[in-house]
Amino acid sequence: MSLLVLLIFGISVCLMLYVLIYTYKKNIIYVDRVIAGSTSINHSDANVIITPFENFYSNNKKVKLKDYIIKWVDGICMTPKNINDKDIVFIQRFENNKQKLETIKKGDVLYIEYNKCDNEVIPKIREFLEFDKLGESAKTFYYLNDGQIQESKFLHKIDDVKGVVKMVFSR
Amino acid sequence: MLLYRILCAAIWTIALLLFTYSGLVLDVIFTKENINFDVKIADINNNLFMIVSNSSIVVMLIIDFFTTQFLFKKNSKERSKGFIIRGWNLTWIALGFILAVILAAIPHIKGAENGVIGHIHISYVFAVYVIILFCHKTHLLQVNHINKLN
Repeated sequence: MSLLVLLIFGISVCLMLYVLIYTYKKNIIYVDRVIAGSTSINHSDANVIITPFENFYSNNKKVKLKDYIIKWVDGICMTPKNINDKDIVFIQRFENNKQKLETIKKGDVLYIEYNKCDNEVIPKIREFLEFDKLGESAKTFYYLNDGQIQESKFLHKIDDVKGVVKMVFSR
Repeated sequence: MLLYRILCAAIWTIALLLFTYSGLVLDVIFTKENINFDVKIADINNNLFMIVSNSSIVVMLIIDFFTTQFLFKKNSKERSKGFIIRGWNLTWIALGFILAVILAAIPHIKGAENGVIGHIHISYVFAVYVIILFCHKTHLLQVNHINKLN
């Protein structure tokens, strides 16, 4: 009888632990980087983990993680915008190009997925300056280490602009 | 987050349940005599378990009260928040206690005798009570991030 009790107890504990560990792992969010700075510099490929124990608040309201693209910032080119290296940024997706033209305003920090010629996608953030006359591409810039503005070498296609940074969190 | 609370509660519960059996386990490890498990478990059921579980609850309530006080003592706003949390504590404690009493009574109403079966029931009732208490308590340990852009 005593062995049976211990057996049931052991199985219960193991089962409970298994369920808890499984649920914990399932709720971990792996966050990719977004480059804030020159893309010619080698950047880290490491992921950042958001555990189920972390809560994010904006205007005293809990943020729903599923509503945003979440990235960690690799670089310091947006420090004047209060976005520092290793920060977590929450990016609001754009549904279509029309929405982009209507909502993006000067000073917004845009999330851009730049397609290189070898099909490599480089995610980066840049501050928005203006659209070109046709409304097909965006002029952007970033900040150098001394705070000087550095315009992007080329215009970014509006299709490459995927979202705008809405929230920034330090860890 | 609820998951975190449940996780912490479960860890505490397991730790306390293991602690309940620790006397038996130590006996098994360190005593060279032959041990009658049924007698040992009955001993725990009748004496040690009740003492441990009851005293654990009291100790936890005291710790709960003082840590809440300590954590929210930094400034007046936080302190007022602490009072609200203490109020909640009392609610949870009261609910947990009522639930524990009801659940503990069920096996005895059905005719269970003191001993192993009764012990299992009481263990799980106790576990439920601890889970309820710590589901509330452990939210103080969560990590909160505030948006810097506002």
